[in-house]
Amino acid sequence: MISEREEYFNSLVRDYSERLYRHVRSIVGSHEDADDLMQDIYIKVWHSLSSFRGESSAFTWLWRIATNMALNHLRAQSIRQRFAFSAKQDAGTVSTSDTLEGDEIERRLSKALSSLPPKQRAVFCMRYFEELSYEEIAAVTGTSEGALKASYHIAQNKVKQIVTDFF
Amino acid sequence: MSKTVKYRVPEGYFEDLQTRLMQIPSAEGFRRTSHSGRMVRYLAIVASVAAGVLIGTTLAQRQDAAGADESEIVEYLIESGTTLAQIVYSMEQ
Repeated sequence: MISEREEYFNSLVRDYSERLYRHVRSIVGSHEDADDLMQDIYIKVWHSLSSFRGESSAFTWLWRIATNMALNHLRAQSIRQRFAFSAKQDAGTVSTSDTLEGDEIERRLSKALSSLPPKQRAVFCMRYFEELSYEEIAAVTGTSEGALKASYHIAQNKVKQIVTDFF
Repeated sequence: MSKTVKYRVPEGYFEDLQTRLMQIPSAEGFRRTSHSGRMVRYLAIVASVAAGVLIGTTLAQRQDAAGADESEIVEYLIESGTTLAQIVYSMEQ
């Protein structure tokens, strides 16, 4: 018989793990790093459950833990390029990259994202791909909405420039 | 362009991930299956061996200071798994 705490933990796994993986992967880039981090994140979640009083939503709480751990991971490794992109590949050929599926535009997007500083990348991905509101992103990152909007605007311009250079 | 980024993951990855994560509460000494988990286990083994050698050396020195019989020291070294070459070397010192 499992406890109420364990039941709640399992529901957080069922409801959020896949989406959380994509969020973490968007920050750290590699599947291996994201997989390692997912286990670290949920271990921290398990140990922190007793102190979670529901001041924020479970989503915000999880995303805050995950974002901080992913950014700390990058800081520790001091890695700039997170997304695999082979410079030897010719434009228009099918990539053997193990990151993104899809066409050349998505690969360009991958390259553009990897050029962003980690926190800016996280903000961009949360806003553009996950379509979180600035209020939600502020709750996750602890950054003001004004700073987030500025950060997103700069990131958007950088990404647009790299992606549209393709055309 | 789709806003959903399709990352390549191994087949069945998310089902496997959920299964692993749900083992966290019940797992004692939860181990990751990643390379870093294997490194942690390796370091733990090395640390245990080092601790055993340190304790054994300390005991041997104490016994020696108390006038322990040479045969008792050798017997201890044998029981601790010290190789013959190491025993011979220590006797020659």
